Amino acid sequence: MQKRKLFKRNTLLFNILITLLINGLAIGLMLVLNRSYIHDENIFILFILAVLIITIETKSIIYSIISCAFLCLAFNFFLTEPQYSFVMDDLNYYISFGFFIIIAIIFGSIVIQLQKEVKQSQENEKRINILFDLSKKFLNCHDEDEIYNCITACLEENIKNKFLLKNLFLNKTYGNITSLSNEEMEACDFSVNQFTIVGYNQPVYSSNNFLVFPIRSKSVKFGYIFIRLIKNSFSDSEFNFIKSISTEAAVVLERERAIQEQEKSEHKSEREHFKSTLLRSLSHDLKTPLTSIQSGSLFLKENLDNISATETKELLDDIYNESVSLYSFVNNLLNMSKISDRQSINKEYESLADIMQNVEEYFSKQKFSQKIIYPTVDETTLIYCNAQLMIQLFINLISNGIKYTAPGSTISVIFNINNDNLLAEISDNGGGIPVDKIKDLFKEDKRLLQKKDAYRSNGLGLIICKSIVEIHNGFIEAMNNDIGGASFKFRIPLKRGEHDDTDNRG
Amino acid sequence: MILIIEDDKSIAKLLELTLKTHDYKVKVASNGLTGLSIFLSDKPELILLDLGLPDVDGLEVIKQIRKIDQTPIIVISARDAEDDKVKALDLDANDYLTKPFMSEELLARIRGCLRRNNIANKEVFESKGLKVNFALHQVFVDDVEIHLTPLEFKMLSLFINNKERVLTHKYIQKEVWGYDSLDEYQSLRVFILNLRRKLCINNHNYIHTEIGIGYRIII
Repeated sequence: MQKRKLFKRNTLLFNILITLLINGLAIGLMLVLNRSYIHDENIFILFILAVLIITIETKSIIYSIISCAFLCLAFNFFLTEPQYSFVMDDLNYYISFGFFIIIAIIFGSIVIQLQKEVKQSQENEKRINILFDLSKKFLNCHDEDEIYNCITACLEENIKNKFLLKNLFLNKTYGNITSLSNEEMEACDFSVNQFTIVGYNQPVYSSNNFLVFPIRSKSVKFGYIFIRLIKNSFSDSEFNFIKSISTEAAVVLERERAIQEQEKSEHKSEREHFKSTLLRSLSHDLKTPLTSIQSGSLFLKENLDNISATETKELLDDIYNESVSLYSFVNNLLNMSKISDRQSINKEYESLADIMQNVEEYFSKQKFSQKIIYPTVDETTLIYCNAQLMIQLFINLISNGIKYTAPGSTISVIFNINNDNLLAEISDNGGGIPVDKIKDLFKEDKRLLQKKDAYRSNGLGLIICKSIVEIHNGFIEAMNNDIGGASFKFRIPLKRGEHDDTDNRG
Repeated sequence: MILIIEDDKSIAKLLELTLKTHDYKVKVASNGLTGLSIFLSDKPELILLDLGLPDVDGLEVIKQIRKIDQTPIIVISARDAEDDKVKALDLDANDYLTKPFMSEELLARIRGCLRRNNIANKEVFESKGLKVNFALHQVFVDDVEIHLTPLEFKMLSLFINNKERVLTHKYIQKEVWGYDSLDEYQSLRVFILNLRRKLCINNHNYIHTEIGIGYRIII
């Protein structure tokens, strides 16, 4: 390691050694060639070569000039008359020396310039690659915060200066500077508001030890990059680098905004369309039972004296049942609106037995030909849920069974409580669901809503079931079973989970 | 005489009809202010109050009535308005009814409220298989002795003394433990479930849960 350090390029020691070495070689060769009666011109060309090599290796014009002088003196000393003296008789040699030095200097400068340019373009290429990588990373960013984090990482890797990146929209800062002085903050505000780079060597705040690059488009202000300078210096390429980043960031952030706006408006128009289809389906679903109720009660009004008590009672039962299902339907609507406003769903630990008791009571008031079997539930089993929604869930599933199974079928509610989950199954034996319809049962598809009496779905009931299950962090599915009917199975965790942290525990 | 304060004409008619059929005298008011003035002038035995009145908040009516006396109040409100019902009960309303209701429910609740609380003076209470001896602190269900802790007994007594009336979580918590709940009534619920389990001989289920509101003993 020591050795390497000594011979690190361009240290003073290295340069001196190289100069001496090459000079020595040149002079040696000069003497050899002279013995072989090679012309002087060739020796000069040799010298030019030597000086060029020295320039390339030392990357400095100083050593080349010194070498020129040195070689000229050597030539003078060894080769010119009188030999071994520093006196020259022939004028030509002075001219040769003169030209030699001029050529050496010109070539030397060109070479050094070339080297600088190569180094510069290598650096530029490196920076361009970094910017390109950054662009690629931007493509993978999903929000503003991620974009700023990308920029921060890039800056941390590629500049030595301490910097601070500010996201005005989220009012968040990134980077390794903890705070800015009042004057520095003023400069930042100015930079963003006036859309101009301020700081060292810029038109404004020019004598300060920092630079601020605004990140904004013509109309939107996103943020800024604040760089603290080291010893008041900042290379041009670094300057252009940061400038490119700030411009690129503005473009990406603007694009991000545009995408979000577009998504919002697409979403909105989708929802509007869904709403209007829903309204049409709803009015149909409301009118059907209402028509029965209206015509039934009208008939009774006009014919009470003409029909038997039994017939009257039957008719009244029908009217009552229709009104109950109508009420339940309207309740579903209410629940649906509550669910889409997630904030208003309160959950608590409720007794599963109590919930089933409510469900049982609901159906005990109605008349239907199917038989419902309820599970026995341990009194102490608690489930973290919104009780009204859970009751509605069971009501919907069982009602669905009553509506679509053959008369006299059995609908069983079966519970399996394991570990932390309730696995519930509502199964019937009254005819199954056509296989191709199963996957569409829970879909909020506007096309399906338009179909009248879509099989096994009143357009809303099962969709609500899915929403209720999902809002309880559960999962629901439907299938045909092996007792000749359909089964609806769902799973809901018994305990409050991480998803419920923001729940309002009313 | 029972005072009905209800703005919905069809429900008011239904209530009137049901009560009259069961030999209660009835007066009907269609808004809160009329209701209050009838209350002041005619001193009804019980008030059926709808919470969704057009002119004044039902809860306000309760407050006004309670400033004067303890006439039993049964509030009527729509389903899913649990918060309103709890607030009403906390303001000292006696019970509640959810629309749409069955006439049996209505009559049972009225009976529950009108009953004088003289059970506390009695030594023994017996009904539907449940037998409680207050003096000896003994409890039997279908002649099987049940061992209750002092707090459980206290709670059972509370229910019996308020039978067929709904008791809110808050009320039960305060009466039995003396302080309000620190955990959203979690321990109260578990406590009641355990009490229920102890009393559940031969499928007797005396303590009924009113989801979102509280509990009611039905015996």
